[in-house]
Amino acid sequence: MKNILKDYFYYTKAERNGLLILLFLLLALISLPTIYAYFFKPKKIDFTAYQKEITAFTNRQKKPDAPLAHVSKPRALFSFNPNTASVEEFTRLGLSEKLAQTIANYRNKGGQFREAKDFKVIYGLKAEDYDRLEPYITIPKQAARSKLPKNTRVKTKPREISPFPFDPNTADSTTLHRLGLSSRTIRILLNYRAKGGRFRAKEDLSRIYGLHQEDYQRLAPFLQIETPQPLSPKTKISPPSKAQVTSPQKTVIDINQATAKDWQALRGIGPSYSKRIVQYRNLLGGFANVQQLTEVYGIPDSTMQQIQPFLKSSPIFKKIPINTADKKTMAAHPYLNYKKAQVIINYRQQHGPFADVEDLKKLIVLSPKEIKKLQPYLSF
Amino acid sequence: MINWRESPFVRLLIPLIAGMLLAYFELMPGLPAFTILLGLLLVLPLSSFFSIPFGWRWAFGLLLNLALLTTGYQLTQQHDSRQNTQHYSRLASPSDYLFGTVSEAPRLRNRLQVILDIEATGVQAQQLKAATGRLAAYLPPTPQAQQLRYGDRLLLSAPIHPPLAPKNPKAFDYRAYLYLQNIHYQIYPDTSQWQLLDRDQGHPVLATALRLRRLALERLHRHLGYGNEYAIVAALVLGDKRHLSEEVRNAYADTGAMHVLAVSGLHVGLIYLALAWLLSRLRLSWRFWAVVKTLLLLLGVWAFALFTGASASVLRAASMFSFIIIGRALQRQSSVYNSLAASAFCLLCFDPYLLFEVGFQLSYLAVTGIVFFQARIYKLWYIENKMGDYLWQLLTVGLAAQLTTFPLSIYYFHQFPLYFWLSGLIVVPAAMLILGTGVLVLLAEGIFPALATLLGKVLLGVTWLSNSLIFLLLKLPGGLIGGLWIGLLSLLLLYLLVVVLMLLVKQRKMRILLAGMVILGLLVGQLSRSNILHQQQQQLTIYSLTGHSLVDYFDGQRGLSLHSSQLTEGKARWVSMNHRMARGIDHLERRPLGQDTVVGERCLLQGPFMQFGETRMVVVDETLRGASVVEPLRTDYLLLCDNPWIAMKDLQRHYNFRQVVFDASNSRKKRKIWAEQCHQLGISYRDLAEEGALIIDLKE
Repeated sequence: MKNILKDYFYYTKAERNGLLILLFLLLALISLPTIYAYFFKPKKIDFTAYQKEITAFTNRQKKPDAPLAHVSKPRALFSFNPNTASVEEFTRLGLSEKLAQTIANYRNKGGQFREAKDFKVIYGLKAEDYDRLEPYITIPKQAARSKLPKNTRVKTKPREISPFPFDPNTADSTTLHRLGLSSRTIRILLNYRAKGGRFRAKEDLSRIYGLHQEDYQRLAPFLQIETPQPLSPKTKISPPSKAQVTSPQKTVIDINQATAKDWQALRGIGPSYSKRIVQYRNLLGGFANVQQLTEVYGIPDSTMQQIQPFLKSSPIFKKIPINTADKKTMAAHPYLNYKKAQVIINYRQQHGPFADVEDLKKLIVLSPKEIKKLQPYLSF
Repeated sequence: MINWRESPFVRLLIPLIAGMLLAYFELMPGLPAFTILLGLLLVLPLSSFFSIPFGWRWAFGLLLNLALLTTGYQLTQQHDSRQNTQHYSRLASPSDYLFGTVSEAPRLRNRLQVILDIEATGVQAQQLKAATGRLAAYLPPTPQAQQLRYGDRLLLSAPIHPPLAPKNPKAFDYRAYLYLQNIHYQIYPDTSQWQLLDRDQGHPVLATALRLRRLALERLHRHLGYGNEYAIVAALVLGDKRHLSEEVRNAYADTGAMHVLAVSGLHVGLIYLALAWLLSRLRLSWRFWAVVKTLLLLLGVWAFALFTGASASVLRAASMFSFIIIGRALQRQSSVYNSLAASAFCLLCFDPYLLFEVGFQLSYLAVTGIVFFQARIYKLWYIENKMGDYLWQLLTVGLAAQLTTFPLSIYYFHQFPLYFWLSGLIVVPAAMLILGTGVLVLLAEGIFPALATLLGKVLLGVTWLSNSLIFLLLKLPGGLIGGLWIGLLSLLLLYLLVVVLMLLVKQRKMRILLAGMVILGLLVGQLSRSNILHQQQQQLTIYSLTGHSLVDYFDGQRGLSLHSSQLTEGKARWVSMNHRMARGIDHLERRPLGQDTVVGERCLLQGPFMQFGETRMVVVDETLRGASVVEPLRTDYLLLCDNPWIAMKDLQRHYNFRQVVFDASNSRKKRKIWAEQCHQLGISYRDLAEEGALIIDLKE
């Protein structure tokens, strides 16, 4: 055992030398990075010049551009009443024309400044402008008379209102006003009636959009509705009774000819729905059938049910020439999109023009249902 | 020294692999391999008609080697399916339909990944052209899509795209990953652009195996619930890794036990050993018993391979063991190395890309290591105690495998689990038990349901125990050396060292030792060199990460990472970790981009204004319209983040810069507009979302 160990640890002289050199070399190589790290120190960099440039740059940037400069230029200030001052006066005070217009609009819609602080709420008015103008705002006492919590701008006036019996089907705006309803609610109510809406039961009034629940509770005992008619599904769909003041629903509307205004004559269609309908119709190139109206975003089923009897279909006015139309035109159609348009164009390029609808069925991107919908709009 | 007679295939394998490497890395583009091969095949047979002078005895071998090299070269070139004139990318035009069959079980990620074997392309059924090739389809994960399985025939109509190169330095290369599977195109159809045509069009054997596997998964699920235990048993017994949680994966990876969860050589080996042990109990004096035994072994191994989903790694392991089984049956004295080499030779001829797969490399190296080292280490310590002997055996197997695989696992996974031997002691017996009971549970289910329930409980217990032990092991201090990054050169030197160790074990010669020392010296020198380079580095990296901004500044081995506020560390690591590791960053500081003020020795951050070394950069994330400027700020780079409302002409007014950089936090639309403006104004720009990360060497 001893000899084995001795043999194991024995090296010849040449071996010893070679191994020693190698070991030292290895050691040197291993310690090289540490030695390097000790001597190598990356130099520091002076940033003062850059910092100065940055400061100069950021300061400069704060100055606004020339065309906008006049806005905040100090102006001759004078006392003004924001409830009566003209647009021109506001601009003389150093407000932009746009802002002055905003103020005028606010007033036209019934907005009032009851105290100087109210002026702050104007959208777009900068805090520093307000601080500048605040000392010059003079609001006469009578305008400020009724001091209200801020959020009651639209709400009913707090003055004592004694309700009296009335018929919501006939009451005019002044009567309603005397009952303490806001002008907005009154307008909605009158619109509702003008389009043939009727209050058949007391609860019908509570459905008027914008009428507060407490107002309804207050007025309910005074509601007097004449000739309350029993509700039946038929009466709902049929044109309203002659009692209505010149019911506009007597006329039948051509779905492809009617203008936005014509549409509004229908019950349940207001300015925004009518706009949407016309826009969608233009995108489609005309409604091929009445049912397509349901595709217009947001039109409720109930409305659709009601107006359907007054609609008349007519031929569509624009078709897609499927063999010549470019990608953009096709993609703009509500029943197609870019991907599908691209496939159609690819097919055209490869296989020549589409002969009929059957050819379209070879494209898997279009389901048979889609093709059926699309068919009226295609010309070959 | 090496007995070449014993292992002829080893000698054949070397030139074949060399040829494959030449072709894969395109070291000799345009080599007329096929012509050379034909010529050699004409010349070589002549040798049997003439007697070769003794001085020229090597000539035949040299030519044979050359022939094998060209074979490897040619095979690799041909293997690229795009070489085929019928590949779908050559036939299909953008509007054409593609018909393909699902060739693997689909995997669900953000979308459903389905690998398709394309069969035909064309516009309609009458005009179909036969086509070949594999295609990776990513379908929206609708309930309908999730019903897809092996053998379903699909019709697709969407444009195909080649996969993109990685956008960030050293990031995972998905393109290369697909390339090794011979997939060169991807397709992203939306719901209206694909249709299921037929079902069950796949290979009936494979389809049956996969159906049985689904059934087996259901049964296991009934006994084990849906916890970690189920996930582990499913991975181990059936090769279904989908249920493994990130936590479990990491725990097994960090303790060096990951190989147990990937069905591969270990499992096939265990099955082989178990079967061999069972069959060796039966000593029949039947004449054909040896043949039948071999056939039974082969059958068992391949049944397991099919049953576990016939994934590439299992098939590979099964073929490897088949060769070993056959080799053993044919001549007992033939070396295992020969069987290994023969199996590698055949597998590589079948699929040259296997050579570049991590699993393939690790499998063969591990088996080689076990065959070479295990017996030798085992001999060093004789333990009389049977239990101790068994444990020592296990330990030596793990150690032997680790000796030949550790350089590669460091190269790929950048970490070394120090407790691999401990986890091996836990996990290998556990794997045996789990595999055994798992198979028994599945078999018993049909015959004795009560027994199956009982075994199911045992299975649950065993899995829970081994899993808990692994997690316990994870808590031990100093278990993992992480952040290891070695280059290709260091990897080669490490393997040379392993070879030297093998030679030294065979014969203790001073010359070999000296050679080893020299190699060690080279390795240490290389590591020191890269360390010094890392100490000197001054580098700025702007990563390309969709929806986010990330900038790394490396000052020597210290890193400063600036990131957009919503960016989580996990997401940032995904793109930056490998780059940082490769750059030897040992200390990293994180700060929000464009907000803090820091004055360092070599870097200055002052809100959006920055300077690294001598290079300046300004982050522009606000509108500049309207503001007037007397003198523009001089800077080198402008970085636009988060879709600022900016026109290039305003930028020119405010800054005097070299290049403007749009990172991937900007929308595609915005980047397109800016690029157009830059073209018009002649501004140099770089769009990181398109061109990938920008690396700026600050020392230039």
